[in-house]
Amino acid sequence: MYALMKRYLIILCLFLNVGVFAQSDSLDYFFDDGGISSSTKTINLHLLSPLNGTYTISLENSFTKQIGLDIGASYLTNYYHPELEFTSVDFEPQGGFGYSLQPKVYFDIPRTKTLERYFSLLFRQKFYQVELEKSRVYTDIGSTIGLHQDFGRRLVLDYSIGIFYRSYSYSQKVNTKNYLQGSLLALVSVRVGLKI
Amino acid sequence: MRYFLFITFCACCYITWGQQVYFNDDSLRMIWGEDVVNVTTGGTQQVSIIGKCDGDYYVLIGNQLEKYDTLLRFKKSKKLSLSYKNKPLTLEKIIASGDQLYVLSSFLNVKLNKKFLFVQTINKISLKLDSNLKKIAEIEIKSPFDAGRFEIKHNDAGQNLVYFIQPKNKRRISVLAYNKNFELEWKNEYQFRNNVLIEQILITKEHDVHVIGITYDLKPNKFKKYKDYNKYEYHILSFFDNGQVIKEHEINLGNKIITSAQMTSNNNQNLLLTGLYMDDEETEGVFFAKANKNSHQVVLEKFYNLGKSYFQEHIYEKGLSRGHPPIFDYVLKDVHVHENGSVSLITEQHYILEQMEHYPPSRVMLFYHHHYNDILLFHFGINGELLWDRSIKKHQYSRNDNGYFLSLSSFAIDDKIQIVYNDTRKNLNPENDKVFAFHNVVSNTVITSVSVDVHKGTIKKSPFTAQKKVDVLLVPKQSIVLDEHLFLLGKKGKHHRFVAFDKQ
Repeated sequence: MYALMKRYLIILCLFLNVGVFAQSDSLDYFFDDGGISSSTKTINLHLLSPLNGTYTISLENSFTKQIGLDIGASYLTNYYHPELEFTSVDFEPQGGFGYSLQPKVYFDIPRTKTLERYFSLLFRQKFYQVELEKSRVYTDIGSTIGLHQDFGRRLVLDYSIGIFYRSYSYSQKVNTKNYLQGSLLALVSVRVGLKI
Repeated sequence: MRYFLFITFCACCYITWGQQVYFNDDSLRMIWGEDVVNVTTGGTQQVSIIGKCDGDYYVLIGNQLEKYDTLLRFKKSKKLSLSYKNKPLTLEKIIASGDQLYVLSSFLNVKLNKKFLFVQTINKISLKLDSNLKKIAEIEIKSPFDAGRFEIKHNDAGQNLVYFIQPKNKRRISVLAYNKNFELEWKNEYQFRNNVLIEQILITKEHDVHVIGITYDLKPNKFKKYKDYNKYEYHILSFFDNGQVIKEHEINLGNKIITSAQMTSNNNQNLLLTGLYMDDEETEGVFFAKANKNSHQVVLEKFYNLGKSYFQEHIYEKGLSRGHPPIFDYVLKDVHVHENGSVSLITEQHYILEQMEHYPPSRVMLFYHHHYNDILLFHFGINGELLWDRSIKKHQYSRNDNGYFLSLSSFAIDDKIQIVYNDTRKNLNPENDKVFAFHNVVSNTVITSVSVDVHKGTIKKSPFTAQKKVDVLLVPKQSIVLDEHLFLLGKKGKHHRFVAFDKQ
């Protein structure tokens, strides 16, 4: 008898719990969107960088509604074409890697909810392997302005233009003297991103 | 004695510090409050006048909720931060309903494909949000880019209404009615024959809801009333008996086309409809219609043809051709129902001209010229007869500022209609026939009040002048009528201030 009562009580408790789990009228239910609206991180793929012989992927983290930081990593192929450069540089790379840091400040555009504009500073370095050279390093410092647009649920598009100063240093294997040059370049960037 | 005089002097300074009071010769009082520091010129979207609650005025400036006393002195400010467990909410509206302040906010849930509307109260003393967030409505969205819009309306009796066109079906309107505490009283839906735009919604004291809808058979973003004026229809949709009885009435006027219309109700709660129309031959005029509240049938319909050139003659730009009948450039500003049952209609001519200028070698600039011109008044008797029509000459112009200081505000008091607007000092001379344009030049501006006696049809212009220049400008588009006085935003010198008009 006692065992039977115990069994009935357990079954009753299970049904009560099922009722609680199935409740959908709490406020949490209305705000459960899989974390999309509170997502602060976006993985971006740079669509135009392959034109320069670079494959770049970056991670942007939003610290507040206005401030974010984009950290990128690049794989450099053996093809090089400069960005919109005002002085030409001619060399044949054999691959390499790079990184970038881009802090951003966002400004709301009135009466739009999915479109924001931003201003950012850009710092990046590219380390090329070149025959007959020990190393070739490109260092870019500049700024960009851009538009950030939400598309659908997790997709974002980012467009920007900017200008930056590139300094590049290289030293030859035979002659170990270091050379340093610089030039001014313009930048056009289009990225597609996924909120995570 | 010296001490007493000093105290009195300090008290007078305290009362009038930052605040000024002006009178015109029609006994209309204009009170200016203290500086409002968060408002910038041209940012009309920043300021929202909420209303009055427990004697204090509440306004929303950006995301700052601010409180002012009856003398327009600043009392308190609080930044509103709407969120639920770090998920941001979008502010829809703040309402002063009864003796409470309500915040309505929405959240777009892309996972559930729904947009939810929530309500919560604000503590009137601390201006903090109370933690009583409650969901009151939801829209099933088509996509995150077509999520629909909640429209919220409330009346003086504290009755609240939420309505929206369903994004998945642009012919279907949903209406939800709430009491003053936002408890649902009834909800219903209706599908029109075609896509519909809601022109106006009216809630009567008996909680009946009347909707003016414009139906059209075109893509939603392609429809323009002045271009497609032979392709749309006006409909009145009414919800009676707690939303259980629905009646739709198409306003079929034969060869007449309604260009604008506004509903109101008279003291007997009959539904009144008045506005402007034109016919196939482009003659233009005003109409008046009345529907019986019990039978819901239109019992009175009157049309007054004012002639082909009546509305054309109020355009100041010579030779200007707008490409459409001039009646489409008239906006219905207000409809006032007076104690004796007569109705006054105020319209204003408004149009925007676009101009593209090329500056060599490659610069192109786009200019938007805003024109707000003559005011036309029409007064109907209790049986819809047109007793008189008047025009008030006015010419206001600005460029690329959304007409920030242009247009007018009006309120009715003691069977008189008071209309206020910014005007130029050049128009102060009554002997001058020519109407000079107001151009946003502060030093040359005078606030003009026009008093219209509805019984006699007489108009009296009474500008607010002072011995020295007052240096003030009104922002008529940011105004609200509360308890027989007008409360609106203005600008004095470099700063914005709130201003109130009432009768002494």
